[in-house]
Amino acid sequence: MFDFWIILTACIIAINSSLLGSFLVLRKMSLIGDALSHSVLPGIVIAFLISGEINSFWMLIGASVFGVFAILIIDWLNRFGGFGKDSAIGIIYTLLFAIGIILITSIAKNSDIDVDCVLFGDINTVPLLPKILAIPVPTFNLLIIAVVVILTLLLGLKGFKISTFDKNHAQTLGVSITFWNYLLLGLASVSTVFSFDSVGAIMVIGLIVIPPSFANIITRKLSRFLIISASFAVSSCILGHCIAIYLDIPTVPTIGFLMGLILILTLIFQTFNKNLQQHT
Amino acid sequence: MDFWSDFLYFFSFQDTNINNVLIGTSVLGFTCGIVSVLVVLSKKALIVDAISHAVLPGICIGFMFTGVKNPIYLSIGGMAAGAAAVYLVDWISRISRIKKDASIAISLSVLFSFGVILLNIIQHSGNSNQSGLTDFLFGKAATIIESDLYLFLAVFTLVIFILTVFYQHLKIALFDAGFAKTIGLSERLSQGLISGLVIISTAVGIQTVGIILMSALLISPASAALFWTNNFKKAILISGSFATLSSVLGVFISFLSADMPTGPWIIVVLSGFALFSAFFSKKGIITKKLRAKMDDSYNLSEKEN
Repeated sequence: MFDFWIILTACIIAINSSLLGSFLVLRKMSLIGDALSHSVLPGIVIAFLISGEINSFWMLIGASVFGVFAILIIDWLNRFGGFGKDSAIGIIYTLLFAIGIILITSIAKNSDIDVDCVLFGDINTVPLLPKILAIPVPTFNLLIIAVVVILTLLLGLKGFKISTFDKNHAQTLGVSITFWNYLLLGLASVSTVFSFDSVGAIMVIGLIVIPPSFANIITRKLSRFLIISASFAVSSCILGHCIAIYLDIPTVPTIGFLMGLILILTLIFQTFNKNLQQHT
Repeated sequence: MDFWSDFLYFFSFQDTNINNVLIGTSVLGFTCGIVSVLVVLSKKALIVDAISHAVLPGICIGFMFTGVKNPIYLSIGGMAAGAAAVYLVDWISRISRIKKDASIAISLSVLFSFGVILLNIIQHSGNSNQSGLTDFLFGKAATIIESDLYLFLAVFTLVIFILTVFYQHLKIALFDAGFAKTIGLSERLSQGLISGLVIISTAVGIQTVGIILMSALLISPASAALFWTNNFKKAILISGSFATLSSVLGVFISFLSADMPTGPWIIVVLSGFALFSAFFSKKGIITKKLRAKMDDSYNLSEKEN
């Protein structure tokens, strides 16, 4: 049962992140995951300082607020502030992360917020946490988010599709690109915040980008793209956890490394195959 | 002690420990400030993130081979891993449909995950030297000692040397790529030089601010400087000064209160400079608005007359 909760939590995070990540990657916004996962730190700390308890719902709210705030300010600096998109992302997420660390080391010194945990997360503590309906709290929250994400994607697939692939066409049809853009970013921000708690920043970045990139080199059809992306993420999580237990290394980075390794091996295999076909 | 006696003590440079930290972070700050201009002008801002995260496995491998925490070996490991990251990003976006931003994020998370696994193995290996390796994650500015300074000064000299030798080449390549191609300047050389400088400064720069905040040290100074000038040489100087000044202020703030971390404060001050420049410099948002308003009222009064 212990491992079951770990794997289940990892898989739900994998599904959420890879599905939302698919659209982010297709819109060339992969690095939003990077920005988001670091920017939420001050939100977590401030909410902790106000509410006084760790793992509270307020922390997640605080983090979500900062996630959305970071996205808005990056967008604003890029459009009106004369910064390139790269620079705007680079400046804002490091600033917010630095503020977060300063808050942790000075004011919130006695909290259990551990700066290392922010980066790596610790999924192995999930089964030990309090439970709602016999499900650990983070898993329960993530399940709700998964339902919201999947329903939104199913109902809004057309909108997401058209605003991703053909902006001009969307405009002629009167589809609001801004609406779908912010809906996607909002979902991504909430999902990142909730996942962040269990698996840490780096893993979220990996799950947002690697499965969709794998799907990208395999298929061009959107429905297949989403399915391949999600199943790649889920199978990497299961396999990654097994390898981690077998080798006695931490689960979270093992999953991240495994996903990347599979992607890189697939790329090498594809190039090799292409070269072979050219020669024969 | 009140603020002013702290202030006097700090800036009278009596304390060797403080001096080491101050000189170390300032030299690194100036080095990164210079390289920052190349980074921002060549639009490589986010690849810095991939490089700095990749440095972690490099440092771990450097440590595994030598078993000691010698900054030179660790930096060499870090540089090798940084170069691997640049190659990986390039390779992925070259041979597949995967876009550059995605390949940066892929390399970042793969290499960093690998680094965390290695770190875990080292921590369980029982080598007592390993304590403090995690300092690289968030920087260890407060523990800079005299022997570190030689490494920083060497890197600083190297960066200045490369920049002086290839000054014209880089300038033309950055400001007018088309012209550079026409007169036959090698694009590969300029790109390689820039990546090389970024890798070198990252591998040593993370010692002050850490892996996550490193990209700020290579993005913010030049972003701020380029609001004030369009001149390459001036931009380099302004950018270097912003970074140095932030380093000094960051060290000073963390000196005032024992709870305040150095690296994050350097970044906060630096971002403050960048945002201030975005608002109030000649090309800034607020200055532009004010000027537009003044022009309006000027025109109006002219019409009335």
